[in-house]
Amino acid sequence: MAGYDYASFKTAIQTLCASQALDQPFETIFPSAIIYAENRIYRELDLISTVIEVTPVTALVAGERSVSLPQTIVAINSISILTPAGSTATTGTRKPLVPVTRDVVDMLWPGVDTRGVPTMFAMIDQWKITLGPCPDDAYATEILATTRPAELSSSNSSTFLSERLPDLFVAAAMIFMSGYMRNFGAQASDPAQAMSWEATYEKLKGSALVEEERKYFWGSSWSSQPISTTAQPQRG
Amino acid sequence: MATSGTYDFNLSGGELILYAYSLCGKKRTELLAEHMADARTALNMLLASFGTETPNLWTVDEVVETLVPSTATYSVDPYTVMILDAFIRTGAGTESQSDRIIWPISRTEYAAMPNKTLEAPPTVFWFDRVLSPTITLWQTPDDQQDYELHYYRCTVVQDAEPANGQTVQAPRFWQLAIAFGLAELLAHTYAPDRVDRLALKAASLLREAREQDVENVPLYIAPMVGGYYRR
Repeated sequence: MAGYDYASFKTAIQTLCASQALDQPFETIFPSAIIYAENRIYRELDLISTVIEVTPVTALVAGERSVSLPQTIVAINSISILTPAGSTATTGTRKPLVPVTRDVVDMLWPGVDTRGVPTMFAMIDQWKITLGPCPDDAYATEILATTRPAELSSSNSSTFLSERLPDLFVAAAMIFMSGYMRNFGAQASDPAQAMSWEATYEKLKGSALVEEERKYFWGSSWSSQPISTTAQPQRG
Repeated sequence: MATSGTYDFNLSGGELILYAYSLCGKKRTELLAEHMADARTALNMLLASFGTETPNLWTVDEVVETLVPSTATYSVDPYTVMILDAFIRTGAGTESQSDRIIWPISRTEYAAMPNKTLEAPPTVFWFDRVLSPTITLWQTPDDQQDYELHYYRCTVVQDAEPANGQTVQAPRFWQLAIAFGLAELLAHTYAPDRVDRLALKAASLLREAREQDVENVPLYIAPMVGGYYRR
């Protein structure tokens, strides 16, 4: 695999920045370049590799319609209730919940007296949902969600980005490092550097996005999924 | 391949609303309180229109009214849309129990009766459809026998309340017609570009549902020709 580990990625960035080994300012700023690059790519590409089955399993409580979720979740992809109560992912039957607005839940299931197996959920905040109807038993859940993988570091020497999207990762890091090199302004020695890396990044992102759309089977509009850039004209 | 073996599918009012919005191209994650409030209103108005347009067989029930001698007029449940068949029962609960059909007359025909206080076994009735409707019998019940008035009546469809999984008071084979009828009403506000095709489909589904909402029995029409013969 023609990717990077932490050391080779650092060397590559250092080389592109024309920085000396053990250059202390570079050592200080380099982790921030990783944060910038990773967050930007994760946000813009919505990589399927960041979708996981969230653990620990969130169990519902009979009579409580609000549920707190693990704070590792960035965005929920799907929630299924495992029935009957007490069953697990291997023994239970999945009943996927339909995402709706909070208004819909509040209008259709206004209280906790009418209970049953939940059929819908609405986001209340980043890590809390409300269910309708209110659970009548302590069902387990299966949540698939987008999360943020651990960042590349000396103790986490490779990531999906460093191994599978190394070119894009480098371009994103170099946009940030252009700021470190003060190559953003007209007075700088190479004012076009940041724009050049930005353009490179955008091109690489476009090609990576095509693959991601194929992984998700993204299609036409009228879905909670992002609209595929290759599905033109839109249907629905 | 196994089949479900169950026959329990019955959309709740809330599910009908969500489906109707999806027919309008509105996702469930777009719907706000105003959408739901409009849908509740539209659903109830739609069901009310069903109640006024046709006798809905699923809303028919039998009402029994014990008649009081010398009293011609009796209150009728205001949710009654029409009275279909009525009969007078005498000797209720005994071996001599007997039913005799009575016929509807109009206000004009009732007004034309010269002696409205005449007491005898009732033979006709007038259903006065005011806001607090009544049924008036002619002749006025006498005290010679105990009479029971039995009538089958059609009521309006019950209110639709989408909360708490309540279902709509309608047979399963009407659900698609209700969903498309509701979608058409909502489309006037939320999907005007879809009104025409939703209206066409809603009309055709309503026609199909009504065609099923009948008693499948022969209809006999016989002229009364007895008057043409002399004895």
